[in-house]
Amino acid sequence: MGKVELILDPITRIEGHMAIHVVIDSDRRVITDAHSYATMFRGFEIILRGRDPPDSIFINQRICGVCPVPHAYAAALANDMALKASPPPLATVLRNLTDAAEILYDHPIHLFQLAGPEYSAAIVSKFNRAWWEAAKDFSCENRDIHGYSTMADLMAAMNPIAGELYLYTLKLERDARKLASLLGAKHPHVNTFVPGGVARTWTANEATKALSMVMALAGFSKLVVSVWEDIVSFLYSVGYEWAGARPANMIAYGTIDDPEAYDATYENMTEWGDKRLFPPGIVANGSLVTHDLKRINLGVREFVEHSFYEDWTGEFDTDPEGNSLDSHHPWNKETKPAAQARKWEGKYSWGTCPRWVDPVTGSKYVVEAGPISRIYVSALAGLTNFDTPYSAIHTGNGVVRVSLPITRSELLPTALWDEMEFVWRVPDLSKDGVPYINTIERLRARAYNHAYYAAGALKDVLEMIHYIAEGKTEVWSEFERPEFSMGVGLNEAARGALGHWIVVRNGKIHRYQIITPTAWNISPIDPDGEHGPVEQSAIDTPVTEDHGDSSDWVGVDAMRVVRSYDPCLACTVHMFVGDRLLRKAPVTPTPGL
Amino acid sequence: MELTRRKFLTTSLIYAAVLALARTAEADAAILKASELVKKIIEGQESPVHLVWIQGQACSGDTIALLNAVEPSLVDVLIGQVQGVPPVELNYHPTVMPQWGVDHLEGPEGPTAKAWDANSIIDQASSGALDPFVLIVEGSIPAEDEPKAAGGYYCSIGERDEHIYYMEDVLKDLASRAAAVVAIGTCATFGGIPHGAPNPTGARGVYDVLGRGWKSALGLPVINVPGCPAAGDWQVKTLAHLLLTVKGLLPPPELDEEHRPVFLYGETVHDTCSRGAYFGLGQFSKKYGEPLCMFALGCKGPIVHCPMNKTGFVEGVGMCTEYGSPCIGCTEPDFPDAPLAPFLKELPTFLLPAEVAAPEAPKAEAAIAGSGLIGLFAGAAAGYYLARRKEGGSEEGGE
Repeated sequence: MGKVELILDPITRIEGHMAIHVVIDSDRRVITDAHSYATMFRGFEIILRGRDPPDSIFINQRICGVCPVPHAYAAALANDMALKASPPPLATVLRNLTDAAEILYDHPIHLFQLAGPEYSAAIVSKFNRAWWEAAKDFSCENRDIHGYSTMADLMAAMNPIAGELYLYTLKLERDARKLASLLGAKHPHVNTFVPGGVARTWTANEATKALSMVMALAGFSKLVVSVWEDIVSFLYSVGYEWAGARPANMIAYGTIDDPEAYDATYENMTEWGDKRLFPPGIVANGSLVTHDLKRINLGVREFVEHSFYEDWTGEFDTDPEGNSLDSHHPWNKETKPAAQARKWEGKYSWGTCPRWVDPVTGSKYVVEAGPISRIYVSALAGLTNFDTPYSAIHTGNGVVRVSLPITRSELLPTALWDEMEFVWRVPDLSKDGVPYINTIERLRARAYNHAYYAAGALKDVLEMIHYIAEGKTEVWSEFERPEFSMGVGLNEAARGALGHWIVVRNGKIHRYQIITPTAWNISPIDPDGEHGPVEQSAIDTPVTEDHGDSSDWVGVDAMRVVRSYDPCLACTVHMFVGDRLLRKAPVTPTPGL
Repeated sequence: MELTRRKFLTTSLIYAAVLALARTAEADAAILKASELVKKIIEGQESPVHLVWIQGQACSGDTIALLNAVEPSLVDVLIGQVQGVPPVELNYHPTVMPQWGVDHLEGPEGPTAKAWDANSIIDQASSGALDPFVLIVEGSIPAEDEPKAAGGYYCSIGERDEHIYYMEDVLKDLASRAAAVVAIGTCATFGGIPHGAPNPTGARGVYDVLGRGWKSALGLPVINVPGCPAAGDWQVKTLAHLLLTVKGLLPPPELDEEHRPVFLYGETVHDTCSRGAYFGLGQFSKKYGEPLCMFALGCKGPIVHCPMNKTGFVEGVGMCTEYGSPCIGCTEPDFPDAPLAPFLKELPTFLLPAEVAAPEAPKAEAAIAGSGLIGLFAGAAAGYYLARRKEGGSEEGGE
């Protein structure tokens, strides 16, 4: 076979230092091998040892300046549990809103500024000439909402720096960070999350401002979904369905806690986990294995056979309830860095290798994390169902329905004011009877997550007003610094399942471990020889570059796989059928504005 | 539009700087000179200034914060809000640039692949093809001696032809040609979180890698814009000032001993906090959420230099202590270690600066735990703190 071997380093337009090595069969035009790896180490888990436990909330969000809030939130959950402090309901609502505000910027920055350029006129016309010709004749289903008649017009608007959508979305993303700053004192790196609640003086004055800001951002969701439904539709039309495809094996911890149900105890974790806006869940080959957050936690494993670390021996045989604890569970893990030369058959990444092993059956799963995992789990679990005057979400039987209200705002074009309902369905792409997910569906899921979070934020705003009206304005509960305790904080960053594990001894941090969603996704080969999710997705991805011979290939398809890593279930080759966006009665601008 | 060269700013920056100066004595002269400058630019007499933005042990938080800047916003800057700008181009920025690394391991490499390779831009800057350029650094720089000896790395920012682009090497290489070097955020300035004890990777800030006495091609020291992250407005204001300096319109910005612009970092969080009055009155919040002074809840405002309470974070929204969260000192060299940490424990009062702890007004003395001795010791304590800082600096200073 003709062979092209590429190292793509740096991978730009992501957060952080990452690279991928791909081998391409240039005759068949398909990727045949891949190694994804992280190229930077800082040592957070080592720096945390011996510190005052609450400091971990402030330090850990600095792992990522793009998605700090979920880190603050996960660390706060771990601290709540370890330091025995159940936040008052208003505090949980304020944490939820801060987290949602971040997602409402984070998903768009990915879709329009980071991964988006791969679907812009600038890059498509350069590397995918056949696509570009097809785009000129492709009519956009949602042109009345986003305003672009053909895919070529839409792709021009996606152009980096100069495109209208690129520029307009940057502005709305800033508004979302402004909301996060209103709640969190600043963003990136909010300053208000503390064990037992939030350090934020919050009155009706702040509440009204937050309500107005959330409403405008809910309108933003309508743009995000309508644009990406059309791009998704176009990508299926040009036959891109097997790019980034892999079996539907996924993990979600769920997120956005119920202010009444969440009590920060390990004992009740299964119950309060089920009450989350996004429920937790493990999906194996398209089926829900469990939505029990405690069982999911106990199944987490971390390996370093192919990572620049040394192995460790565990310290604890059981969890706080006496359940058996594996030596490779994060509560038992120790971070022992060992920089060395990279070898594909040996160690090649600063990223570790998380896997999920069912504590009930012992089966191991290579699972991916991300918006597709979240919404897929929610669609199968069917646990989230609510209606409020502002928004509604209904889930079950593989379907998620999200309703957003009329969103009049001077920040939004009037086409985005109408009430809308969005319908997401489990994709039906499959191979040999096994449900698959792919690059396209990861992108689509990210767009629908935006609407899902916005609907949740509108619910949280109503709850916030309710608590203020009821006089329940406490935002903090006293915490302890116990002699010994264990805590876990599991939630969702924009990119998927995020876990923090803390062990406190003599009132100080004895151990602290973090597994990010990207660790799951770009994980290297595991001890059984199985590739990680990004590697699996890259392998068998077709090469679509048609601008020159193979010596000129730049690896744009591998880039698309890597960058769009947030899952949605695989859709079959079918075209978008136009029943996913339901527009309610158009809103007529009135003098009453 | 041409993808490989991003039009970044700058008349908007000049305007911002001029507006920022508008209340000073130099205002008229600055406006006059700026007008002359713009005239020159329109006449095509100015060559472009290139920006090369590299990231070491970074979280990209400063890049996201840069997107928070307004008047001018990054968008204003990118689309050339004001005509006749001296052309400024952002040639390299890992989070923004369209290109990525492309390295063919086997066989010949075509011209498109070579041109698209992000690493080639670093090579261009290194070889002088982008002169004059301003080097902006985000993230700390690990010590690579040990990893290199083992054949590995702590921080690689690219790879081509089996050559690893170590962050440390790229920084030193590019700094030797740069017109100016600006360290943005607390990691790049002082080492930040990665240099927190026990500093597992030997992380340092730029001025400790290059040396505290280091000077750029234009004779400027490393300019530090700390903050975790530094607010977008602080970043843009500093760059604007620097551009005017590069153009000879303004003297270099006055810097404090930690190389921070005094016009931003000249005051403490405590000095500018509206809750500061409660400190003087001895009224302290006992629980998070209460509207009083948070000294007892761990606020480090009295020893932290930061303009947050004056500027806000996003369009004036977002302030740490004003909103009820204790200052954790994220703009300071010691962050995230003592005396700033533990963040939620009260600062030992002997570390209070004299002017805070030994006040002229007798009330404030009662405020801090009612100890009459505090005022007595505070002056010496503050002196001790500052002395320790200097000491730490000289230990790590330069190579």
